[in-house]
Amino acid sequence: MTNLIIKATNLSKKYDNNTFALNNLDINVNEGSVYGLLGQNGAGKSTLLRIIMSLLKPTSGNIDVLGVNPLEMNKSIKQQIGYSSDSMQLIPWLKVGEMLNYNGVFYDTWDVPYVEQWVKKLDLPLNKRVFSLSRGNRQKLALIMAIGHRPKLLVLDEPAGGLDPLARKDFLESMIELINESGTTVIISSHLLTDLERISDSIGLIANGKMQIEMELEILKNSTKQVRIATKNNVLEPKLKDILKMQKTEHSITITFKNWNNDKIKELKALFPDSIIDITHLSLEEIFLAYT
Amino acid sequence: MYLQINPNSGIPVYLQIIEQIKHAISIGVFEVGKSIPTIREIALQLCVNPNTVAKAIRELEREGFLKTYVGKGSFVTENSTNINKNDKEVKIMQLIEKCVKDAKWIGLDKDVFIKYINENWEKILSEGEQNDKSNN
Repeated sequence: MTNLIIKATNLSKKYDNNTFALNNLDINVNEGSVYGLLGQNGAGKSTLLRIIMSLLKPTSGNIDVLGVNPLEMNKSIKQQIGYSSDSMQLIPWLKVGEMLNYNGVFYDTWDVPYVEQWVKKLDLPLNKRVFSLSRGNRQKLALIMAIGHRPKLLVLDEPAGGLDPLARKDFLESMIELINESGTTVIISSHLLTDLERISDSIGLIANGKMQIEMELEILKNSTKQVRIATKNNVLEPKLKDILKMQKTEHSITITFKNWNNDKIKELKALFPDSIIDITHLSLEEIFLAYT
Repeated sequence: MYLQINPNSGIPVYLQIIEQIKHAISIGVFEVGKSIPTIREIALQLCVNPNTVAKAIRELEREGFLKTYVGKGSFVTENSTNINKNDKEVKIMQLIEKCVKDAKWIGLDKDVFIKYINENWEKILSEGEQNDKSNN
């Protein structure tokens, strides 16, 4: 069994106005994996990441991060985590190099040659003031600040939001380098599903404060299929299990299934004799839409 | 690099990588006895998780297309071209199956269907000859 770097059960966060940001949510993040967190705006992704970072206190439930409750983390465990989010404050009047040095002071394991290597790799201008950086460069700076101490766990909240396609590609490449060289566990929330599809090992989909699905990306893709049926007969709505979505016209029916397996083909063939049955793969984006 | 994937297509990325590497081997982009690019190089080029590339390469090793020597890289095996041929025949069979189903659906006669295949075969053969001539 692989170790779990993050494990939470029945995690809830209730805000003062009685709304639940998280509602009995479970999450399991394997060591060394890249975990993509999906969900609509307001689904609870950032709340979860902030609880993991001990920036927020859950109302109830259990959570372990690197084996301990975030609220009881000592300094040495906190130093094994890296975090980057849009709401993180950079100091605008510092130069990039100064900002990095300032950040490094807080970490015992801040690795200056490693940081320099990343600055070079990402082509970050050290002498520019933080306020004058482009959005892409600002995200790169935030990323280096989050990884300069070689964290065991990297928590990224919308790290590539607002980046142009070229900057996104740079960012993805840096993520790939990072995963390749260090085996860091990464949990990353993003709306850029094609990017998540490229780099995630596992996917967690949050809706209404609950974990709707959590599985390996490949298993998710193999178990979610769309079936198109064209028939000369009149279409009746099939009574089948595991239907996520269904659309019907007079001579066709399109069904999105979860828990797909080959037995379903047999069932469909029996239900729709003399029909053309097409099975199509779905992208992560289409899967996301089918589940939400 | 020759490899190409489309993460949006819905086909799991590691399967696409496997297909692409097999294709590159079959047309000689990756030569028998030589090493293919490293996991890191492939991951960066395709912009995908190196774990996914590693998984594809493990599967290709299992199928006998590649053999990996620690510290040296993954090499295309002698046997890979044979396995690739069988693989392709399976794929053609699947395409034909789909074609036949569609033909039956629109009510095409079996003889007509076979006639179409023959005509196409001849057409492509003659196009190939023309290409050969124009290349000379």
